[in-house]
Amino acid sequence: MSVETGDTVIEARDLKTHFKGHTGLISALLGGESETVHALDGVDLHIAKKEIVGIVGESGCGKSTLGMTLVRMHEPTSGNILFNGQDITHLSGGKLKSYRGAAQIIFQDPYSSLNPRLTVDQIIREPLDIHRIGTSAEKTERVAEVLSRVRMPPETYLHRYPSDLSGGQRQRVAIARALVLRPKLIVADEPVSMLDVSIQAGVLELLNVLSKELDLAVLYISHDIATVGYICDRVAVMYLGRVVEEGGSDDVMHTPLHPYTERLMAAVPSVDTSVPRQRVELQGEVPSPTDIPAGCRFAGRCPLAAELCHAVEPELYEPLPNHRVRCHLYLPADNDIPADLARPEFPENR
Amino acid sequence: MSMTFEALCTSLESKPPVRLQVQDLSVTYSTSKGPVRAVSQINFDVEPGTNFGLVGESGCGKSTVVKSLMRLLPDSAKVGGKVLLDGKDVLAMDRKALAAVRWTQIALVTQSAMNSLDPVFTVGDQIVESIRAHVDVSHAVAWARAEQMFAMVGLPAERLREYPHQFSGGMRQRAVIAMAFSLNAGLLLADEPTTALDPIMQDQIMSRIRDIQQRLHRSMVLVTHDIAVVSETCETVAIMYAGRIVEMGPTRDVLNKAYHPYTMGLQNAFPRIRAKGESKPPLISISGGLPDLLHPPKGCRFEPRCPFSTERCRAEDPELRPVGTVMAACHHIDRAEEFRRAALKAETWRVEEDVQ
Ligand SMILES: Nc1ncnc2c1ncn2[C@@H]1O[C@H](COP(=O)(O)OP(=O)(O)OP(=O)(O)O)[C@@H](O)[C@H]1O
Ligand SMILES: Nc1ncnc2c1ncn2[C@@H]1O[C@H](COP(=O)(O)OP(=O)(O)O)[C@@H](O)[C@H]1O
Ligand code: SF4
Ligand code: SF4
Ligand SMILES: [Mg+2]
Ligand SMILES: [Mg+2]
Repeated sequence: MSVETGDTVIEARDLKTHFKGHTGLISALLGGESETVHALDGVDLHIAKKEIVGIVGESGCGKSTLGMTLVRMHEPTSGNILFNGQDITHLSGGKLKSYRGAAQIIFQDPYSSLNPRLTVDQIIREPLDIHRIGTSAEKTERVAEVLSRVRMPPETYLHRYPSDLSGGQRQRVAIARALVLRPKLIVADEPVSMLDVSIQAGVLELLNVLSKELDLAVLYISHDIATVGYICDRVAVMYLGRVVEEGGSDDVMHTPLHPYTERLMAAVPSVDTSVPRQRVELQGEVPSPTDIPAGCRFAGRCPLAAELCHAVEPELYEPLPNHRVRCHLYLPADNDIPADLARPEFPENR
Repeated sequence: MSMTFEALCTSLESKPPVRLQVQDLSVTYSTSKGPVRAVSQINFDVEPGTNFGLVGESGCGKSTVVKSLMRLLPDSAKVGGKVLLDGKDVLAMDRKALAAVRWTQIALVTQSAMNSLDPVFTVGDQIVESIRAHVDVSHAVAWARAEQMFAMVGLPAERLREYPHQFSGGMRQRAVIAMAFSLNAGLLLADEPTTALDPIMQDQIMSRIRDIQQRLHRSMVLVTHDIAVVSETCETVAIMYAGRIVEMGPTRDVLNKAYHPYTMGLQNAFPRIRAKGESKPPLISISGGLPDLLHPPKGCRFEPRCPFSTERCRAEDPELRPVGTVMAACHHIDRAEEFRRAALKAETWRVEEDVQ
């Protein structure tokens, strides 16, 4: 899958989204100080036309916050979002509304995301009404068009209610609704994780085909690394609010550079048990996004952590072409970091 | 005099593994729309010290099977058949006998178990209580056991003093797994035990469960939708479809050389990590959905979705019968070779009018 680059649709530059507020019930009851949750804490990312970029990482690492911030459902705290080269970070009013038409999000739960009292026709037509697009006849035409796009014959499905649809069909309707405004960016947040394995494939394949047919940029958020390998051109691995590794999906999955990615990939079980899997235990818990450690965010759990790791947060280095990693193991030779801080070293067996 | 910690551990570790035999198990739920036959006459054995996987899509009856093994079904469910635990029928036990068996001989972990912790007690106290309800040990000894179990699931001992709401979902799930292991039951029933956890945690917990099962020679029934987890964990696997077992046998054989078209379809639908450079085989889904169990089809239950169905399939329900090293319920197992080849092609599974 070659991707024509230079067609960047969306770009995030050092994007941060922090939430203020009590995080625990107890601290709220005790009236403790409100803490800042650094959910998204400096992310750079770009997605081109026809490109699918996967976001993986542990629960709570900020994947959904990134998706929601890109479509402007969360207010970014700092940094920039560029859409077709234009800065849309601080749009408001009518311009924000039209951006939201162009940048759509699809959620995990096909059971609660569709209004049960509306027919498929009404569900898909609604965004056109809200954005006052087209005459009634044009709307009818567009609804039929997107339903066909998601491979649901309009004559069969237009007048059905969500309760008459299977999970996979509901998710297709959600996609059709997202497509009706002819967006340029789709954020798909765990779109198949509630669907049965036997029907996941159809929805994933559909996303893949649509991105190519309609020139869409797609951000695919998922826990399930195997599905990411199927449809993503590139993958970004997040840890505690930041991207720690990013590159072509084959490269990241088969030649992970970051110690965290290495463990993440080694944790994926395999159907083929004839090749034994190299498993590595990971000590410790994910640190809290209210209390970001100094230095590398993974240092507390990294078996290779050295003095430097605890002192200075690594930048995204690019040790291999188009394959970036935020880890001091890949510190370039020409760096301005004090030489007296002990550097991490690759383990013997590599 | 109650037991010391060492005595407790020794007695728990020397517990014999359990043999489970499920014979003609059927479960019918009565609903306002009529009877729903969720499980129809299934049979399987779990040999002592082995792991048995139960795989199938949501609604096919996996949890119903697991709950009936523990007698945890609602009153609206009518259960038939036998569930023999070392020869004794769980379905025929009186309440006292049942209470003696639960947790000491069979333990259960479900996907939603993390919500089963009581919010008003500390997690440690809840584990201690469940231990002391079954064995005569002091609070301190039970606490030491709880610490040992926490270490096993990778939780620090001091967190035993916390309340469930202070735990993340993943930590709660691990606490429940620790509780299920605390009496070292001979048979563990695990219904999607790690689905709610992220991949790293999932893998760590599964590998710990596997270690214990192996080291202490325990038996397990593992319900999951993840065939990769099954192939790493279970010696034997049963594929369920609409309340029936449609294929069963040694895991490697079932997953490498399926005889039932549904098993072939499931394999195609399951995303695998590819070897570097290997081209992407298409992910193929099985169109359609489970049949309505209020009105199950007369013939093969998979017929409406099966690309290979014939007249005979519509008329007659196939029985589970031996073929090679496995058992399969399909009229056309003699054509399996041909089906396997066709099943790899996306066109085979394409059904135009009803997309999933
Ligand atoms: N509206 C909010 N207010 C306060 N904190 C929030 C809010 N939304 C998210 N967070 C916190 O921000 C962090 C990142 O959350 P996010 O939902 O982006 O994670 P995620 O990577 O999508 O996780 P999952 O895999 O579980 O969906 C978490 O610590 C979460 O508790
Ligand atoms: N309490 C209940 N009352 C009526 N029907 C039920 C009940 N529990 C499950 N069922 C039905 O029984 C079938 C099997 O369900 P279940 O055992 O939960 O499947 P699985 O665990 O494989 O997803 C489904 O058709 C489901 O709707
Ligand atoms: S920077 Fe240091 S602590 Fe962080 S991942 Fe690399 S080696 Fe580990
Ligand atoms: S019996 Fe017929 S319909 Fe059923 S699985 Fe076999 S070939 Fe398909
Ligand atoms: Mg999320
Ligand atoms: Mg279930």
